[in-house]
Amino acid sequence: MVIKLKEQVHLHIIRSDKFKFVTVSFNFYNDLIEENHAAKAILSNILCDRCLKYSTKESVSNLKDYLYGAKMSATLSSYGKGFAFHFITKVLNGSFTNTDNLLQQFQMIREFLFHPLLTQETFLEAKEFAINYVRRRLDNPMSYAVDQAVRIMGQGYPFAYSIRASIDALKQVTFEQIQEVYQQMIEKEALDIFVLGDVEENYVKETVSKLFVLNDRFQSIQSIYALTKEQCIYKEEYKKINQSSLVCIYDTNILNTTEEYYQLLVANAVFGQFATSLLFDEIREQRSLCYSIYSQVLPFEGLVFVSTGIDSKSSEEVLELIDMCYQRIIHKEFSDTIFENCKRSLMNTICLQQDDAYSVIEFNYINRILNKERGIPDIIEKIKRVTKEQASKVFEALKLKMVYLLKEEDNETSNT
Amino acid sequence: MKQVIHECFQEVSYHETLDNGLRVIVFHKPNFQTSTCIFATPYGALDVCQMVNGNVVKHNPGIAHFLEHKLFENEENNVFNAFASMGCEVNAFTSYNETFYHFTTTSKELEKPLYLLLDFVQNLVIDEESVEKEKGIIIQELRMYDQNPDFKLIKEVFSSLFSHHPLKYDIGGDEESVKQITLQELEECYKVNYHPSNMIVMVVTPNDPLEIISSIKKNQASKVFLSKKHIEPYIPLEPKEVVLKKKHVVMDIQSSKVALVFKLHYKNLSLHEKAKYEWAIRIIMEMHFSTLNEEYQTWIDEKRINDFFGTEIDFGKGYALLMFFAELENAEDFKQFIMDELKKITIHDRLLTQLKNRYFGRFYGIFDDVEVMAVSYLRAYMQGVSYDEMIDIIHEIDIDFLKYVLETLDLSHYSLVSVGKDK
Repeated sequence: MVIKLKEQVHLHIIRSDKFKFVTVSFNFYNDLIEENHAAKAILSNILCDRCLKYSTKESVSNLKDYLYGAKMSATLSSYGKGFAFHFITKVLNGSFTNTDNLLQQFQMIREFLFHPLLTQETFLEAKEFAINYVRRRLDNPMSYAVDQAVRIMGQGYPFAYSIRASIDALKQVTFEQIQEVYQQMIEKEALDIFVLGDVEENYVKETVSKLFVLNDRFQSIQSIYALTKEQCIYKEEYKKINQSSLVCIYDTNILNTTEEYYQLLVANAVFGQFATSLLFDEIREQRSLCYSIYSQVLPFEGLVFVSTGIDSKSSEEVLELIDMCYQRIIHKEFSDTIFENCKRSLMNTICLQQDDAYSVIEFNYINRILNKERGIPDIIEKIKRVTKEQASKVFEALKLKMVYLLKEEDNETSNT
Repeated sequence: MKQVIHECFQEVSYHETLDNGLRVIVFHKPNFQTSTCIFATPYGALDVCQMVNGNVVKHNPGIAHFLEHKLFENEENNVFNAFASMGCEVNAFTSYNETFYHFTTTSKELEKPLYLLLDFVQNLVIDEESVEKEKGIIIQELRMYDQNPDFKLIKEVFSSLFSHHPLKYDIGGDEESVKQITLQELEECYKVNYHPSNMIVMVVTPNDPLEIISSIKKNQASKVFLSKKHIEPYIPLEPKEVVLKKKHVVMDIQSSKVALVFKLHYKNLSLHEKAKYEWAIRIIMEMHFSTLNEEYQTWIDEKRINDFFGTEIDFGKGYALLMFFAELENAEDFKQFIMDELKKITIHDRLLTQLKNRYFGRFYGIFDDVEVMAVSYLRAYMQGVSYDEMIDIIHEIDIDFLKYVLETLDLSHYSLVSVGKDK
């Protein structure tokens, strides 16, 4: 059930009696700009930490425990050139405690999201924690490699900031900017409210209308942009580590708004998404060159992404093998069994989303961003219909645009 | 077959022990589409040394994990492909206490993949060549974990605390021990630890639980197993003292990490008592070292802790520990801070009620995710205290018990471990 509350403000009620918790997510949408990403990373920490009414960490913990360990988080996601701020709460359904937990859940959202404690003190702490988060991520060599590959390849495009804001960008955010970004988000950004759980639709609608004063918004929802790179970029860096991280990114020019997208999903499943895929079989199972290797489709950018951890001595061999697997797909050199098995694995992965609260909300939100009414059965049908020829053909369009290798540091310490 | 109604969680499960000793637990979740099936053995990384029919048998560290990798080899077909052909995702993992093989599917047809799970785990088919080939994969896996600062910190903590206890080894062993593992050693461990009478099947499904149990019975009835061997865990006597009081490990990272870990000693506790002590210490620490303490904000403002700060309590097979960790440059300052604060702990009645509310909600939350539920429930069950008992234990804990546990908490043996830049 989708109810238009105001211009660009929608309430989505997804009734389901399978979950013991009720999940409510307020999703705000804007363009992906690095300064904005940095400011919202800090804002996400502020909004979940304290608010005017619950102005200490202690009082926030007391409130959450009163609501049987309620959870509250704010996360950021990129969707092509678009960028969403999700304010999510999960509270135990009141039927288990004989209390009106849903009303209290909405009241909690109102306090934290609409009456924040925006002070210099909360700002500085949130900024420090946002920087810590990025540093922590970069201390993991595989995350570092992925971030670097995305940053280098995406230079000049929103893709560069799609995973995280840089430490420099975070450092430059001012308190005034946070206030501005917050006001912009609350008043002007397209808002989608999702309520998932065993709830009464009318009650949800009435409660939301009563508790939240929401205005019309005119921020359009856009995700599509063209990411064009003429040349393939090769980049090596060195670090004191004991395993190299290799990342390859291919451009496909196929976005999730097209019918070909489902062919790309199937081709990628054969290429490297699963333990039955070619990359896993050739590089891990046949030659023991890695423990983990996978490929994934970035749906809003039209990219295919490969990532693995290897011994640096075998990096050339692994690159050749990745190319060999890619060539096998475009020359249809894989059995019908592998093809059908990978399709089944892909369909299973898609169906599994139905039993995960966050995935259900994300699936519906992507429909909203794409302005589509896709259901899981529609997607399954489309995948079923993909032929070997179509999967092969769609991979012909792939162009290798980025090879990034983070190597163990030896005598060579200069980065190329 | 026994039906168990978990009133507290509003869930129903079915339990049966088959003629060959295999235990089966099926949770019925009619509103979900997903089924998760786990085939588990209580054979984990801590079992490098066991008493088998009265004799002490020692193996290379990492053997249980190596075996988990090799069971996916099947002379007839590729296990991954066979599961994929039925629309199932299969995987496995080894922890300190157990090895789990599991698949997840949204297909309504469960009998075939369930048979496949039972058949591949109950049929080890390996040769020397395949064992040697696997070593390269496992060494890459060990290196992947070794360069993750969080894993590295934990690994160094365990090796600093224990001189004999197998917790000092990584779950996967190390590169040397992996290289030394042989085909014969793997086969021996398999024969001893994969007998159905040691193992459990856990299924969480929307399908008919009675049909599931009947399918498993049919599968097992057609198989013959070697006679059961009597196994007991053999955990060498561990001194109270730690191996190293202080250790710094150099890593090329920006955020140095530090852990202050106390080695605790509780002898002759029943499983129930052990769980009660573990929960009591958890509650005591949460009362003081979390946002429930009004001083927490001051600690952040004064840079005594940061957003990475946390506590961990773990009572396992033959060990117990209490750990505090943070991201700080000066490990000694952190140690002093924790030592000072430990002296200030007081027990609050209100907070006990509040924390019980929190844990109650957390337990409920686990049942919202089929995979998480299957793994967590089975782990607790295999360690001898079910979720239902755990709820009872938490209810049992009162202020007097917390005060007693706090008064008798012996924190005289500890290690201070840090990872970060060269000092």
